Amino acid sequence: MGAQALRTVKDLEDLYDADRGIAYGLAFHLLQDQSAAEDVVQEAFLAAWRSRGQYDPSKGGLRGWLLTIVRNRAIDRLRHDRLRPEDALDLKTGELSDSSSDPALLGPERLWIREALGSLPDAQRLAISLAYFGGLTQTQIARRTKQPLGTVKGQLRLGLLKLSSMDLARFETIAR
Amino acid sequence: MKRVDCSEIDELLGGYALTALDELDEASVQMHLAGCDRHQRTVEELTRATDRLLLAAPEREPRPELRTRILEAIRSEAALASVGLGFSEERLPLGSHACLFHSDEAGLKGTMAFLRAGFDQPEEFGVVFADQGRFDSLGAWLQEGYERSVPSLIERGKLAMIPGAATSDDLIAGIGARLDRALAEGYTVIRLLGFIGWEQLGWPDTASIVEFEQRVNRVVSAYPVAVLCTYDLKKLGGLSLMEGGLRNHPITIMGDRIVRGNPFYLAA
Repeated sequence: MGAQALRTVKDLEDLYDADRGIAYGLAFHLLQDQSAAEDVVQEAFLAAWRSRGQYDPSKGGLRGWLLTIVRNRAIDRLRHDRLRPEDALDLKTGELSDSSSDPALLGPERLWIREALGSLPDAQRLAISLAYFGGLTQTQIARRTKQPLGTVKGQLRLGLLKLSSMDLARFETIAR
Repeated sequence: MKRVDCSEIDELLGGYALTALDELDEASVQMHLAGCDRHQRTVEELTRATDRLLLAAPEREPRPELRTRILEAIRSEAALASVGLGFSEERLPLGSHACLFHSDEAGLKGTMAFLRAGFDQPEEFGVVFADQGRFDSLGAWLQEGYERSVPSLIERGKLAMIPGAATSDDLIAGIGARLDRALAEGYTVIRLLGFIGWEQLGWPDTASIVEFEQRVNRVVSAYPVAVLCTYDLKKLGGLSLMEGGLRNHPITIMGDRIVRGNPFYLAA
């Protein structure tokens, strides 16, 4: 677990050291570009620092809060700056593989989420991964996977409902 | 904008929680949610799932230069953070511990401006650390020249008064707990004004003053706080003034003169 509060530069340093891999991994996976991903991670840490007074620990961990900022910034870049042509995204983006760490080092919380995602039917997992970690809209997913839009909407909704109904209590025990 | 009714909205909610809708659809869902409790609850549930999903993101080691770049940017922002003294044009950086020597009541009363300067800043929290017996007169001093009610500031948790204690451990624990609470409430800047009561009844003896002030220096480095301690030249003994004041405060103030690199300061 990383730092639990952001008060001092040291707290931010601890947060960076604990979560740089997942923050950069997320940004890189979405943007597929080293320099853009680095910029997004830097912007996200600065934004977290500037709005540290708004962080509410009762609503979740610091890591989740940081990652939400990273993802929002990366999605903004992707959609508004049209940084990456839609076709450039490989469908393999639906597969989440780590380039630099041993899965055993991910920690129980992250392994549990990976397993939960892995337990979904293939089409639902792919649609969710393309949306969430590939940054595609549902219309783009329909085009890329050559399925009707209605089918993709169903995959996103059902997959997410399944994830949210999975053993929440168990997740929270692990996450603690 | 397209109006979407309740029956059509269900199929858009998955994409909404995953931020995978086109702009028009997203705007329609937002408009619908503003008036539909049932779908708001569904979105909250789905958002909990997407929040957890973020942790499944792939891991990738960034270049080491990124760490340096980010920390340099944050450090230069943090270095700019400071609070005005209120009674002079000078400022105290956050993370600093200053000692103000005074020899009369007017000098002491002047320090109220240090706290008052933070009352109207939404991100700031003020705390006075003094003998319980002083609280009434401090309240009256703070009120002078301030149009809103000081008791209401205390009620709202914007200002706190912490009493002294008989041991350094209790003093430090009391200050730390109150600062933690202020941060948990969302304040990002803290002003702490201390009235040092060494040699008075109910305070630790002078021998523990060095240890206490050194511990304050550690607290100061762990919080976004500017600490101003007041030392009474007439009431405190030479040892307290020297060991507690001069040797343990990196910044010293006398009248309108502020010394930032106090040569007597002994870094812990």
